[in-house]
Amino acid sequence: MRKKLDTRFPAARIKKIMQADEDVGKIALAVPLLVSKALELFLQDLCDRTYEITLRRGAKTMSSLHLKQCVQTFNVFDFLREIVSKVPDLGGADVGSEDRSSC
Amino acid sequence: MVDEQERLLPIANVGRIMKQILPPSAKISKEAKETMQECATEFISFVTSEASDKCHKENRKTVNGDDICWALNALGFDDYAEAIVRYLHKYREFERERANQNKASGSQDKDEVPNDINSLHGKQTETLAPLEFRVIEKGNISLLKPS
Repeated sequence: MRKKLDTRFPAARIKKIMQADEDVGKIALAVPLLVSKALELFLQDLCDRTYEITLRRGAKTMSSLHLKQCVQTFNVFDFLREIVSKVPDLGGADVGSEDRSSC
Repeated sequence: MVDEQERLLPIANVGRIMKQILPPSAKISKEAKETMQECATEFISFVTSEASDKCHKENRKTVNGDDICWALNALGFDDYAEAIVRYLHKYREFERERANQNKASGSQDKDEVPNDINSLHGKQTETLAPLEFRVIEKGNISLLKPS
């Protein structure tokens, strides 16, 4: 059995990200905890569906291109379109080599 | 100048979740992890914005747990909303119990039982973290093999 890894996100960081939005006022104590849980579920979903694409393409390594295709496939991920639009459509990511280039 | 990494969720946490959901043999490119990190951060902003709007409309200043649940539903994350609602109830129950415990032990004992308070905090995270709301059926995914 795989050991359960501690996958909670730091509450302070979550709060910081939330309050980066000027319209957001105070945040109840429970909120970062709930958001952390929702994040887990969201990432599991996104990861699962992206990996489906990775396998379907016969690739060994999950690349950001697979992630981009995943976002384009499912409506619920529409809000991520802008983020993945930066990912180039062509790339040698399927070769399995780690991209070490800095942004 | 704001450090770029400060506005994102820690990539280590993102990586850990990915490792947990994927099979041990799976490899993830560094790029993909970074993009996931951005997506995760965006998810927070997206949900927060929706929850915050609701608060403004209802003339409330504080975003609470119910607002988050509502926002998840409104944005199409019904499955998560269901799990989070249950999580929220457990949290409130736990907080109620803790408040009752503190009342029973008496406030003057605070200096004598610092360890207990710490362990309560520890318990809080230990009790809540393992609550597994597996809304994703992992088994089904593995059936999808490339033909």
